[in-house]
Amino acid sequence: MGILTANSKHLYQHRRMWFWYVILLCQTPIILLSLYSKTDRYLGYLIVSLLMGILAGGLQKDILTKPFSFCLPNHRQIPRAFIFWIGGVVNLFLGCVFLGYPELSFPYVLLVVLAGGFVGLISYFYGVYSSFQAVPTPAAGIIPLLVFSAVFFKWDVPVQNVIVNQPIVIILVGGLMSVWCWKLLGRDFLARKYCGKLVMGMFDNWNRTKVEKYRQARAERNMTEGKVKFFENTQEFFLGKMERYEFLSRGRYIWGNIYMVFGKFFGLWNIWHVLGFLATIIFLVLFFGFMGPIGNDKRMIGFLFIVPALSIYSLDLMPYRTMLFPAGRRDKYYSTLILSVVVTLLGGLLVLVMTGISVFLETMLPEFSFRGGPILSYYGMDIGDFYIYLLFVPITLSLAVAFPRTKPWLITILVVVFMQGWIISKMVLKQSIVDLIGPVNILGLMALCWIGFLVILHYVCMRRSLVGQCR
Amino acid sequence: MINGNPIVQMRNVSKRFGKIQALDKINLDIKRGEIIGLLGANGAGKSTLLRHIIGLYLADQGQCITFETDAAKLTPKELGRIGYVHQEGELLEWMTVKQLIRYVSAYYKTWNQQLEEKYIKDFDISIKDRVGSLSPGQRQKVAILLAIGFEPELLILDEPASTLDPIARSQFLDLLLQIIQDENRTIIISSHILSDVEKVIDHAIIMRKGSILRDCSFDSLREEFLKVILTSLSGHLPQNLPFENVISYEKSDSQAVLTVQNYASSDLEAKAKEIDCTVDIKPLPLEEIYKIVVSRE
Repeated sequence: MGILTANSKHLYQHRRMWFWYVILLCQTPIILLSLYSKTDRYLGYLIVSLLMGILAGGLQKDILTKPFSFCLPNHRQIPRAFIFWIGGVVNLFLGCVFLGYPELSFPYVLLVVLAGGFVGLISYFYGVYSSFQAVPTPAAGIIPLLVFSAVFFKWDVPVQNVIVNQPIVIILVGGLMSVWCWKLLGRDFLARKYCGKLVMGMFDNWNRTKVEKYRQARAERNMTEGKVKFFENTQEFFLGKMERYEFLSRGRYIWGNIYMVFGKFFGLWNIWHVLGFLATIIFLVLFFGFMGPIGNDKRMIGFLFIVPALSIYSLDLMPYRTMLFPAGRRDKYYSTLILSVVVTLLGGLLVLVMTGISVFLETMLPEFSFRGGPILSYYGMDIGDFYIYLLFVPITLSLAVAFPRTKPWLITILVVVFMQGWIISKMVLKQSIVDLIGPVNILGLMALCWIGFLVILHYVCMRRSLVGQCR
Repeated sequence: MINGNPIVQMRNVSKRFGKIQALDKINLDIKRGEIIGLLGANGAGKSTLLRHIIGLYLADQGQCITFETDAAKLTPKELGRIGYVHQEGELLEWMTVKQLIRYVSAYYKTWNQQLEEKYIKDFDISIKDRVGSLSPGQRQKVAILLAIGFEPELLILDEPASTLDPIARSQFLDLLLQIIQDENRTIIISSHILSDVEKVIDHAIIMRKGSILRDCSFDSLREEFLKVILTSLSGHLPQNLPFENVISYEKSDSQAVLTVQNYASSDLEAKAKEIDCTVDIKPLPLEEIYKIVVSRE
């Protein structure tokens, strides 16, 4: 078996690739339909090319970081061959959308298909380039931008016209670009740059140990004297709280555990994190505020009541630790319970802040439209939907306690399922869930979820093995 | 001094992970003051057994009692008497070493500041570094310090020296020998590096596939298996040597090297005299004993 063949097997043997295929399968029709439904526009496939570029590049970067691959004979040139053959096949296939372009004569249409393929290849190479950068998949962020700018600014129309009218120019430009990429990817420095290095690959977001290691290495590099002081003062604060309780008492352990969970954020924190966090909140509030109306509900933004509940999942609240502290199973139960209450309160606070911002924006932002596109109206969060948050927190916590090993997978699936479920429920249901079920039943359901969480937590803490193969 | 009262008792403890029988009806008594070597290949069940003692794993069947308390119901009072160095090397990555030591020490009234300072100096630990950026060997040193810093009555060391370099391993053994001086301290040490373990243990437990093959004092194990070098005084050894229970042998015209089981030295000397030979009797190293026990059971 040739190296390239063996390398290509990753495309179906790498289980995480299947996750991305599912994403591709789910998203591609939506993207294509949104672009093709009303006009004769053909460049929606560039998104697919971009995603394929991210996948192909990411896969090769992951392989290059493995030290053994550096020593395999002839392996250093394989990423280039792999990236080019995947890119060539995929984009030639995608370029075939131009076969449907009206009034193109037979031999000429082949040139247009080829030109379309080369434009796809440019998008593909951008994806490859992005996946080789330090931060994984930044190109993914450009996808919404491409879609929205295509919808509102129609940038794809002139590009499409050039492809159809000047295919030879496009083929020449694409050809030159490919030669440049071929030379760039063939240099040995790529293999040397990544061999054995601690870099985040696109499949590493699920690898908690590696993520943590990467995060710590970055934090270590960015440490300043002021931050060290702040970090140490934080510890003294928590140790002070611990020392208010007797040695070997539950209170001491509970404060210690709170520090164990939240302390790391003080060590990683810097101004860019704060700004990034605020920017993310504002982006989410703006993005979802303009997403409505869906079905009978104008407030698509209600989904933001679920997001903080789901994000609780990423915190390591649970008592699965190999490090031995003087705390019995019952102490771990109570400490996790208290931590759960603390994060519920903090998450609730975040929800309230987002609600406040969105309500403020609702009064400020006027309706508008781009270049005759659809009219956009902003809808804020309805505080009456706060029950959604309180309903989802115990569900998230229960899953996090019960399935700690599959946490990263579960959170991804949960986000997709809840998001789709939210949209479908808005489209199908004629009235709001509160009106449909009734507030008393909602309260009952909420109580049931919290009781369920308590039962699961108690079972895990008192009856289940807490480390190793049981995690 | 070994006190007759066991601090750990396991009775018919079984544990299964899916299709793997990790522990199979384990019966074990660990007495105060013993230094126990827990020996076995990967997957023999050593770590699983140790985790039952501290209640991180719960038995599917049977019972594990630690400090006269069901291991599932251990409270901070009992757990505060146990130090544990675990195989995974899980620590709080985001803290600096100094912070981690300060944090862990806050749990224990008996934390020994002098021991901490001496250990940091002897083992050349950089306390300003982040735990997450330490090399595996450095991490292990920190993990050992955290486990011994409060001078626990029961010290459980699960592969403590596996990532240490030869010098650090030798220092660690010296440290262990110092710790052993406390007669009330019990140490269970699981390791693959048998040459290190045999310097400190007084009791050996050999495991395979979740079962205990041997649970006996190290002295009796060393007496059970002997290496015998026979040298003929006449220049020729007889065709058949008059020894039973021979595990292995190599023979030339005038000399034979035998590994024998269950022989008293006096019997070996008498039999050697019968065939006009001189005899040199040596105990086997632990590694050899381990191989024999595991291959014969």
